[in-house]
Formats: sequence, C-alpha cells, structure tokens
Amino acid sequence: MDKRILSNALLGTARQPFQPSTFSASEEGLGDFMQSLAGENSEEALLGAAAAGFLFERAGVTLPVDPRPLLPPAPAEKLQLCSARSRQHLNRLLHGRHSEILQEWLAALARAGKRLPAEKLPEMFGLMESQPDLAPLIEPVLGERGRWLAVQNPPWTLYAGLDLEAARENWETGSKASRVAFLKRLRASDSDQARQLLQETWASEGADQRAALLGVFERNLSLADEPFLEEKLDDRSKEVRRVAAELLARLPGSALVGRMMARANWAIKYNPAKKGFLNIGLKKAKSVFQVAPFDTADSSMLRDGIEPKSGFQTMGDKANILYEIIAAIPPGYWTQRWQAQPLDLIKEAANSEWAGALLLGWRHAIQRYEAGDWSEAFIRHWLEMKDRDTQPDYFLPIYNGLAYPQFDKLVEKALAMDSEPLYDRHPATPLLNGYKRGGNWRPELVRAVVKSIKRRINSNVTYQWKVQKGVLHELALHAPPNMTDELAEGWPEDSPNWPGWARDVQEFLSLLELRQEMLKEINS
Amino acid sequence: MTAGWTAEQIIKLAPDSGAASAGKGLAAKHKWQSLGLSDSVAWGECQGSGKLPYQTEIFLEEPAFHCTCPSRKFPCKHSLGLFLLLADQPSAFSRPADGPPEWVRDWLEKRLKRQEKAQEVAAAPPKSKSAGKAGQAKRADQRQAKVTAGLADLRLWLGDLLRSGLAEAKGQPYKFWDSMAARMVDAQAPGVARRLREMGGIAAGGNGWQEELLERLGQLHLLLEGYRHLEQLPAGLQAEVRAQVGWTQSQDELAQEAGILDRWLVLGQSREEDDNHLKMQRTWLWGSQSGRPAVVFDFAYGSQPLDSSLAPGSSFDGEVVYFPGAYPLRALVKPGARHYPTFEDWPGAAGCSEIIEAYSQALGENPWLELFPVALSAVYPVRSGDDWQIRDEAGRCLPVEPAFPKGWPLLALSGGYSVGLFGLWDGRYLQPYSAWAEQRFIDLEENI
Repeated sequence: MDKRILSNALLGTARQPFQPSTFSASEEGLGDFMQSLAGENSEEALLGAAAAGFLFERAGVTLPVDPRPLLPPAPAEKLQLCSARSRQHLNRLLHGRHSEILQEWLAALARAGKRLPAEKLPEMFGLMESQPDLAPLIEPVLGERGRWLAVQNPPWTLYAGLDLEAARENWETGSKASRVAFLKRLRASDSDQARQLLQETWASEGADQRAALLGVFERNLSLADEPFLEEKLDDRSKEVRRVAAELLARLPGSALVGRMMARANWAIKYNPAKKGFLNIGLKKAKSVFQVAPFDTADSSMLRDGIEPKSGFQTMGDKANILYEIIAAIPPGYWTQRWQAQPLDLIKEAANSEWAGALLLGWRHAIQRYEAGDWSEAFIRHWLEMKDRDTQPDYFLPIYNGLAYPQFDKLVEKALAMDSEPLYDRHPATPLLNGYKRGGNWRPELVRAVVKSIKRRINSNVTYQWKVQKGVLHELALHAPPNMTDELAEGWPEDSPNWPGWARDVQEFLSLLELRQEMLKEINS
Repeated sequence: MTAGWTAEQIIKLAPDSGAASAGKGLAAKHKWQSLGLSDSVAWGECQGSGKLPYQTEIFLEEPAFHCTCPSRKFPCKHSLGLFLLLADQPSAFSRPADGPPEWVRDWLEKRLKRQEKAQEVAAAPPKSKSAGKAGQAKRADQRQAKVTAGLADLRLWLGDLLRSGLAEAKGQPYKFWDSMAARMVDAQAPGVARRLREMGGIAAGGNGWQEELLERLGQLHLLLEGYRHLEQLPAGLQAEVRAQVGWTQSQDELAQEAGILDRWLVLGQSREEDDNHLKMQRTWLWGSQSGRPAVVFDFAYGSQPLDSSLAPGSSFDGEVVYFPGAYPLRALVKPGARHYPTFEDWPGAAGCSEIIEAYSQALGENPWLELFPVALSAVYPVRSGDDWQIRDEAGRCLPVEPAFPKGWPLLALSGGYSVGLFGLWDGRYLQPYSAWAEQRFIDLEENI
C-alpha cells in the first residue's frame, strides 16, 4: 500500500487534505489513475484511492520463486500399499487409542509385506518418538515413501534407513530427544559404536542429558559396556550414578553383581530342614533363613547405588539394604547355590522375619532378569495361600518372563480352585487381568473363561468391575480372532442381570470383530 | 454403486459427534438381526430398546436414509451404523435373489412418489399472487427508501471518520462501530452492518490493523458508490451490490432458473458455528466440463442437521444455478442430481501464475471478492522455513497460510511427485482444502 495514502488516512483529511494531484501521472502503478480520480471531497477521493490501491496490489501480486531444484522423488516401492479399508482400520485404532491392537495390526501388515498409507507417516513418526517400543513394529512398514519422508525432517532422519553417517549430523546438532533416539537406534545395530560415540562427547554433555543418554544402554547391554559403566559409578551427577548402577545390576557377571553376591552371602544363610525331620517343630524353633543384616551402608555400597535410607513405609533401613542387595542378583543364583526350588525358597522366606526384604528383593530381581520360573513360583505360592486378599502386596502375582504355557496352566489351576463362576475376587480374575503379554490365548482357555462369565451373568450378583471392564477387555485382545462368530453366540440376554452386562459384552464383541476384520483385510 | 463411500465420508454425514460415535458402535455385524443389499439399497434390522427391531434402509444413490427408530437426529445412529458397516464389511450383507424385502420396497415406492410430486411442484409455474403482488411491490419500495436513507447517513459518517483520521477511530470504543451497525440493521442493510462490526474488530486488533481497516473502508466506499450509481451498472454488478448490501435472493425462484448441467466435483467443505448456535456450511464445487467453481451455503440452527448430500470427494451429475452477481460463485444444486462416491479426474490449472491471472480478472469483475477457489493440477508442497508453499514446475509458489497443520501429511502423499490441490486464495495465502494423490481424493480438513 502506498505510504502516502495510508499516512494520510491515519492522520485525517481535516489535518492534511488529500491531493491526488501530488501523484505524478508518470508514476508506476496507479499514478495515472490517481489523476483521474473524481471525488466530491477530499475524503472520498482518499477512500477511492485506497480501494483502488489495495485492488491493484492484490491483482498484481508477484509470486515468490523457489530457486531450489525439486526434491528427487521417492524411489519405487517394494511393498504393496495397504488397502483403503485397512487405512480406515488404522484410523480407528489410532483414534480409539487401541494401542495393543495397533501392535497386532502393524505386525500383521509387516508379515503380509504391505506398507502404511503415506498420509499417516508423519503421525507414525510422532508415535515412534513418543512410544519407542512401537518403533521396531513401524519401521518394517514405512516403505520407500516413509524413508524418503524421514530424510526431509531432521528429527526423523534416523528412520531413513540410511547408513547412520547421515543421521550422525543430528547427533551433533539435534534436539535432546532426537539425540537420545539416535543413540538408541545406533545401540540396536552397533552397541560398541554407540558407546564409543557417547564416550567422545561425554565430557561436554549436561548432567540430565548424560543420564538420558546413558539410559539407552539398556538395549544390548553386555559385559563390553561394563568398564564404561563402572567408571560412571563415580560420576559427579547422582542421577548418572543411579542409572549406571541400575544397568550394572541388570548385567549378570558384572563386578557390581559379584559384589552384591558377596554381600548377600555374608548376610544370608539358608539351612533347610533335612528330610525326615518333623518340619513343624523345627520351623518354630529356628528359621530356615538366618539373616545378619548390615547396620548401615558403607561407602562401597553407596557407590553401588544402594540407598542408605528406606523408601518403604513397611521396611526399615537395614531391611532396605538387604532388599537392594538381593534385587541386583539374578534369581537363578539362589536356586543354584542352595540347590532349592523357587517355590520352596518363597515359602520359607514367607515364614522368616525378613520376609519383606527377601520377597521384595526377589520380585525386583525377577523384573530385572525376566525370570519366568520365579514368576510362576510366586503365582503358585499366592494361589495356595489362605486369605489371599489380606496378605501383604509382596505375595501378589508377578508376570515377568512368564511364558504363555505356564500362564495357561496357572489359570486352569485357578479356575479349578474356585467352582464359583468368575467374580472380582476369584483367584483367576487377577491372573487374567495381569498377564499383559501379546499373542492369542488357547481357544479352550478362552471358551472356559467365557463360559464362566456367562454363568456369572445368569447368577445373581452385583456389578463385577474387574471381570466386566478387565477380563472381558483382555479376552477381546487375546481371543483368537477366528473365534469371533463362535463367541458372539449364546449370551444370556434373557437374564435379569443382562442389562448390567450388555454394554461390556458388546464392547468385547466389537473389539474382537475389529481384530478379525482388520487381519482379514490385511491378508486378503 | 454399493461400495466406495469411505468411513470418513460417512462420519461427516452425522448431525453431531454423539450420533457419530453411536453410529460407530452400531457398525458391527452382531448388532444386526438381518443385513441385506441390492444394487441401489442397503437395509438392516437392529434391536433397540423397543419391542420390534428398528428397520433401517439406505438408498445408496443419493444417499438417502430412513429408519423406524424414534430419534429426531438425522441421519440417526442406526442409519450411520448400517452405512459404516457396509463400507467396512460388505461381505456381512446378504444379496437376496428376489431383491429387498417388502418393507424396503414400500419405502422405495413412497420415496419415488414423493420425489415425483416435488418435481411436479418445482416444474409448475409459480402461483400468481396478484393480490399479494401490489403489497409486495409496496414493501420493496419501502425497503429501497430505507436503505437509500441509511446508506446516505453512512456516507456522511464515513466522511467524518476520514476527516478525523484512522488513528483517532482506533481510540473509539467498539460501540462506535456497533451503533452504526445497528443503524444499518434498522435501515435493512444487514450486509453493511456485518462489514461495520468486522471493522470494529479490526480496529480493536493489533499488528497490521491500519492497512486492514483502510482496505475495508475502501471496499465499503466502493459499495456505497456502487449503490449510488446502481442504475448505471451492468446487471451482474447491480445484483452483486444489492447482495452485498443485504438483499436476499429467493432460493425457490432461483430454483426455477435454468442451471449449468455438469459433472460437479465436491472438492471441499467447511463448517462453522457462531455464538448463537447458528451453523454454517460452505461446500465448494468444481464443474468438470465448465471448469467453473461454485460454493453452496447451508445453514442450520442448534441441533438441526446440516445438509449432508454433498460429501467432499464425491461427485454428481446435476444442475447448478448461480445466484446473480459479479463473478458469481454462490450457487444452489437443483433437486434430482445423481451422486457418485468418487470421481476419476482432477481439474485445475498447471501453474501458479495462471491462478493469479484468473484471480485478478475475478477481482476486476467483483472488487468485494474475499475467497477465490483455486484448483491446481500438478504442484508440489515444499517447506520454506517453518511454513509451507505450493510450487509449480517452474518454481513459482503460492504461500500457504501460516501454521497449516497438514503440511507433512501432504508432503508424504506427494513423495516428491506432483499432486492435485484445491484451496482458497485470500490474496495473500492459500488455504488448502483437499488434494489428489495416488489417484484418490484426500480431504485435508479431515483427520487424515
């Protein structure tokens, strides 16, 4: 817009009358027009000039020219694009936040040799950043288009499938989150190089960044990392020391684990009753576990990440030290050392005055080392307990490393233990809700559980939250999809209790149907 | 014509989000006691809270819906559920050899009769209202006089404003603008009143208010001048001035006029709702033969549904009548159009310069033109700093509105190849509405 017109309008014609004649006819643009501008007064001439000026500007806009060459287009695809209906299924999964089913969908897509629809790629890159667990499932279905797109946006470069040199620039200049993602990625393909890269920049990294970067060592952790991690136990940042200790405590054969074993051997003695003795009398006389706790954590313990103060309300400082020592030792060590079964050890520990420290320590170690046989033993022990509902939390079922056949047997056992149809406090209910590992359950098991729920609807009881919102949902995720039609049949819709169940049963059937449809569509 | 409607298109037909999510819930095989399909109609029976199952049917060619449920929402959740299920799992529907059951045939017949009747009524010459005619003419004269007087006042007011300057006007309270707007409402010039209220908003705003306000004042000045010299203007411009001032055109009368027969492509749709729950929908069309754009307005109040017959990505063979005006865009679709869920060929110009040329021509015809529909046949989305541009083969770029949220999905769809694009150009920025890539339509307004 001509500055003279604009400033004249701002000022007002009372103070500065508008004179079109000041525009020279030879002026480029509207000069000519201004000369001819008729207006009954100065204001109208000004408005007329403004209107013409703006129109002139709009009509005569010169578009910017991009001097860059066009991007080289994406290479031809090797994977087949998923169908329009699969696209709609994906939308539903993303929109309904059905994350578990999304994983199943992605895996099926990869198996079928198909790829994601292009317009969803940016959202999927976002998912890989916010939920790194999904990355290994998404990468195989990105297609050429996905890798092409990843190159266009620096935070996505590491998914471009290029040699990591291209992504390395981002390692030097990228944002905090994208550097962590890069290192994590490198860690998966070349853990030694990742460690060396971090070693190079370690001194210049900020404290919280150091801890976050060190955290990626969780992947492909090996004894080759040990010297580096051991060194970090003396880092000046507490968070870095904590992360290093945590990693070393997951590394069987590390010196830290060895030190923990030595401490445990000093503190805990196990003297099982010999066969043929009268067990009952003996136990009362003397605990099978004899514990000589450490009074305080010495400097070497502190260095190994042991907290001197208990974070548990139910456990004192001494018990806490013991707990942290046990938690760092692979559970298999004890079965070997004491030549005893996990279940026997748990039973004896439960009777000891150090039950809390021992059992909590083992539970934590089960999590760290994914010790499925110990998980199974904990569940068996819990099932055999009287008054399960009033026992301390450290007796509750734990599922780390538990393989499906073990889980299946445990549920069968739990179902057999209580002939009542499923209800919230039935022993099978928490098992069904707690086992989150993906994959389909055995059809017979699914049938047995569904049959039990139908019996429950027919009997007269109050709302069963954990069954209706929990078990039914888990069934929807784990029933084999080809059972959909079978499972839709025979619900007791005439039962007076049906209205309280109808919604949840229908939600269950809808999810199951969605799984069946989406898989069928991918494989068609 | 049984398949082709996508779930996204169907969800858009829902009158509100409640019906949409209830519809999704019903898009499951086990919810339906029977499901059937023929070439032009889909039907199903769904057990609701009533004793008898609800009978739901969809005439696929429009699409038109019917359901025996008592819901006042339209289409109801059963209709939506049935339609979604059809899009999702056509295999769930049986195709009886003897065609639809009787209750479906009954409905189809009734529908056909109703339609024939409507066409007869539309074809009939308007009833002579000789008695009313004189009264009508008198009312029209009265309004003309009111508007003329009102706009004469506004002209003086505008002169005063310019004399004291825009800087001073900025200091005025909103009431300054609003009371003049109210005066224009009294003078039966609602289009002018709307302009004044918008100026009040601009004057109260920050950054760039000076230019924006002066431009609006200039446009208002042009409108007043146009009205003062109405008789001397060509017919189209006369109609435009009258429409801008606030005269409305009778849609019934307009529907009598001959329209343009074409295969019309539905390229975009926007919906807004104001503080008074008045919903407004604009649907942008493109004539595949004529190459002409058109926009269809639809209004609904509160929970009333907006017209759902024009789904983005669909097309129809039908007659479109433009409202008279300069560079006419607003239009209505005559009844009896035949709808298709998709189309095959994307229209538009190849270069960005052609767009600007057409735009300046349009501005020459209608200086009040605000949004200019743009179809491009082969362009590339490119990133420029934090913003996006649409460039053509030669490198010329239309800047995309700042903070355009679909830039990355659009780039992903392009993959470095050219795409088709439809959007609205406001003189400075392009607002993309839809794209054509991988031989399919993508609605960028949707959650893609």
